[in-house]
Amino acid sequence: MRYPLRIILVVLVISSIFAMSSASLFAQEGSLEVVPGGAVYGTALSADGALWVVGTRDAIVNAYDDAGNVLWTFEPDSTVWSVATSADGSRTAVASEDRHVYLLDAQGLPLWSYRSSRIFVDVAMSADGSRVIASDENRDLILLDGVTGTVLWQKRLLDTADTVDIYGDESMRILVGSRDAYLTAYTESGDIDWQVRYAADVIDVAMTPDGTRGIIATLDGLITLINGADGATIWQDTPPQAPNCTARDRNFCLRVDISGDGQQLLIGTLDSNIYILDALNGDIVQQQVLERSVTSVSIAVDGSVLLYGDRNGNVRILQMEASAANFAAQQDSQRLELMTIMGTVVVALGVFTLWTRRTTRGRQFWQVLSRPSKQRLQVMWRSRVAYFLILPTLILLLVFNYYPAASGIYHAFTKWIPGIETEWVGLDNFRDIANSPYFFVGIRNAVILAFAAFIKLAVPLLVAELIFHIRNGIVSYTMRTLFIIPLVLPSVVTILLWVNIYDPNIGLLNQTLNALGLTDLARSWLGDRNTALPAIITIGFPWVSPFALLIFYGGLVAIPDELLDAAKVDGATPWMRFWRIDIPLIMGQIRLLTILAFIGSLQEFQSIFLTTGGGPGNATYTPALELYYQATRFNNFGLSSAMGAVLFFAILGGTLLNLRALRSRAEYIPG
Amino acid sequence: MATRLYENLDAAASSSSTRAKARRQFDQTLIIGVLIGLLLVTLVPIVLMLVMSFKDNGQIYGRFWSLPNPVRWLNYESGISVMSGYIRNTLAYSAISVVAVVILSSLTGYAFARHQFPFKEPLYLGVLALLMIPGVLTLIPSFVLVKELGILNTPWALILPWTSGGQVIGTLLCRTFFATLPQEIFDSGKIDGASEFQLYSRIAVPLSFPILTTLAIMHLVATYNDFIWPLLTISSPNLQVVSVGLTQFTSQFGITDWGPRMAAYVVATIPLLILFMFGMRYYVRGITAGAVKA
Repeated sequence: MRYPLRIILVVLVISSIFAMSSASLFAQEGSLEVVPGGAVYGTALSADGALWVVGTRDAIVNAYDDAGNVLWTFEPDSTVWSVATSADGSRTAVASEDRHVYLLDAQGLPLWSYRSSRIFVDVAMSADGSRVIASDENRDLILLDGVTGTVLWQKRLLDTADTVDIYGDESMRILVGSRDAYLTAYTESGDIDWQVRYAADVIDVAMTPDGTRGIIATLDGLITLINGADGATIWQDTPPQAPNCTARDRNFCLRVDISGDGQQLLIGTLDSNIYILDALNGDIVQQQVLERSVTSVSIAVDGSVLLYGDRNGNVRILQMEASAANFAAQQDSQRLELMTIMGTVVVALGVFTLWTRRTTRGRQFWQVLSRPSKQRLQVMWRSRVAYFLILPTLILLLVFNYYPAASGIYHAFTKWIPGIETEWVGLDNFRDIANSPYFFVGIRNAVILAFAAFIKLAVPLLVAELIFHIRNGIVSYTMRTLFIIPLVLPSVVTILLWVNIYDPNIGLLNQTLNALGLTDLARSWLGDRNTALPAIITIGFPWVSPFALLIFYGGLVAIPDELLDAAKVDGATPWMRFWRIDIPLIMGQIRLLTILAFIGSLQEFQSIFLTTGGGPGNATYTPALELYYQATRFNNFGLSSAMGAVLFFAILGGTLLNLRALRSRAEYIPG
Repeated sequence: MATRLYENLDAAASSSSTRAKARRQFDQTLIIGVLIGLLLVTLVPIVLMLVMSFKDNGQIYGRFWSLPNPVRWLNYESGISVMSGYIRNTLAYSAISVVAVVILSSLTGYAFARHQFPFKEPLYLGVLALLMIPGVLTLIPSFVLVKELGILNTPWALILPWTSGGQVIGTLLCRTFFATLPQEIFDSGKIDGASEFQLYSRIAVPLSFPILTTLAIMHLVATYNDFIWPLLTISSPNLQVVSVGLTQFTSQFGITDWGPRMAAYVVATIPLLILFMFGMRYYVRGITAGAVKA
């Protein structure tokens, strides 16, 4: 009777996973065209794409609503090189050849202006409008307060910055791409956060408002997707028809923008091509050849509006309705999720009902459960004190322990960018794990580490035995205390000390080898593929773990004296006594320590991270390290969760195996 | 049969002949010798750290094997100035968390041990089940949770999860202990008119002082040593804890200045040293008690 139900349940679960992973979204297009007057040099969009700002060579700045009607016009004295708006569109910054940066309000009236001695090349505004960054031809970089227009700081760069951007909400960053091929990120106070060098001048940059992703265009026709936290390259590519950029065209050769969710890229080139790319892998989603050179591109935060202006002065606006489609698709997948959950609950209830009706145990359970509930509630009310006492603990545990565990397992099946999206992808993450070369190296290393950790337990066992054999109580106590001294060192200090010991120049190991004349053996222990992992395993030599020592010793002490005396009387040698009595009787402790060593070694992070970081190459990679990197460097939170889930099941399985394998019939359970 | 046994015992007892005694003495000396050998090897890194902390780069690179001469106290000045902020932070966060864990664990353990209420056992099993969940599974989701709660890069990002983690073991320890207290103590208290709260605070808590101290020390050591969680959640150097701070300050000194770095390591060790000087007994007792129960 049970089998059909199980089959139904399994089929239901599998089909729902497939259904969700194939949820697709469709985009509808509508396009408009406006003609502001003059070649379009700068474009900007409010976050939702409802406000469009266009700046032209003929010194016109026009703001349009999403139907293409002109809301206001602003005319500086000369060519507009760049425009920027705040996320809500209430503020607009204009960089003009008349050597001014203007800040306009929602009606297009200037609130303040800043004058420089040279022409301003690019301007950017933070999403909340509080900061405006501008760069001019004189290699100046100026940060202005968005509200008052006062100069917060001014820097003289080594070379002109052709492109700037501001991103980040709590920790603002200012991104500057300059003619010397450097991309520099400054903090709000003007300190350099990170810097990356490219092969050619940086001519355009765009970052997502939260700073996770950015797109960089360089004069050699390459576009690079970077991680905003440290500037690391995620991928790099050239558009199919790579534009031949000359220094003269640097401002219009290759124009880029990225949607706020980091999903889409809009690329416009001097040779009249428009590309829409999938930001995650650089695949071209759409491509169009126009009749005119594209001079400026903008894409809204949610990717719903794409805007590009060209040399002839036309601005084309594509309204993807993608936001609506996205929303609908999300609703669809959410509905599917809900249906699956409800379906599972219904099936579970069905199984439960059948169980309580049809089986004896079930019937008994139901009887116990359905005692008069009023009585039960009364009992609960009377013991309300107890519930209050445990309430704070339960709340803490629920929030900080149970919820993350459940969240981890759930998100293992999703593509997860926290705060931005969670998309069900079924078993994709697990497929990626299986295909990843790093993961298998990691497993190999983890197994080696686990095995080594088990072997390393022999030393504290030996020491515990030796101490146990000491007759003098004072000496025994002193020895125990002395061996606990290493506990005093913080674990990080221990690891860093061993990094020092392994140092090729002044490390104790190499110095000793040299002093003994064995100079040939001296090497870079952590830098050599063959010795890195053994070196990490050897950390802590001679591995007398105070924790294990105390546990073993406690177990030995608990052996009743009669057994030991009887053994002595029977003429047992110490060796025999060790194997026949001690080991079986402390099996409980051995089991505990083995399981803890196993769990610890699979999750090993500190010692690898602080010594080699996984290198050289991937010689010392572990799964926990990969998990950390995927989340922090690549923002693959879903993949990270999947790894966590895999490790969880591995640990669970390993622990059960350990419990089985180390069972002993002679186990002594006191009490 | 009995005679045989006694004969054997006699034989065993009479092995107090001089030769056997000398043999036993030799065995003992051998044991102690081996132990001292292992101990010295274990202490080598610590000695290394201390010696290097008083040298400057010239001495380290030039005269590696000699004792520091002159002794460079300056290293400790920089070590202290760099580490004091981190240590202050860590001790503050850990102290708050320890107090919270001790209070909450004793309350919860007391409730589980001395009260009966519906669903008591399932709830307790639920708490124990958390021991099965490894850190890797909850690491990233906890990070996201902390971010969404808006406490990322604040002390609370450390204090709350630390407290929650310590609760599991704390409740276990406290419940086991409170269950061993005889009912008569509480009965006599009730007869004397004590309220529930007084029963807890005047009777149960004072008696559990040793176990609470053990719990406090174990939790303090655990939070002091935590590395990956503060690494993940704290990005401001002035909020950072010791374990991560040790890896971050190197930029101040440059990569090759080992003397001040070693001094900083020593300074970072001092709080734990002080803790163990006073609390070693409790910590050892805690672990050995756990050993017997294993």
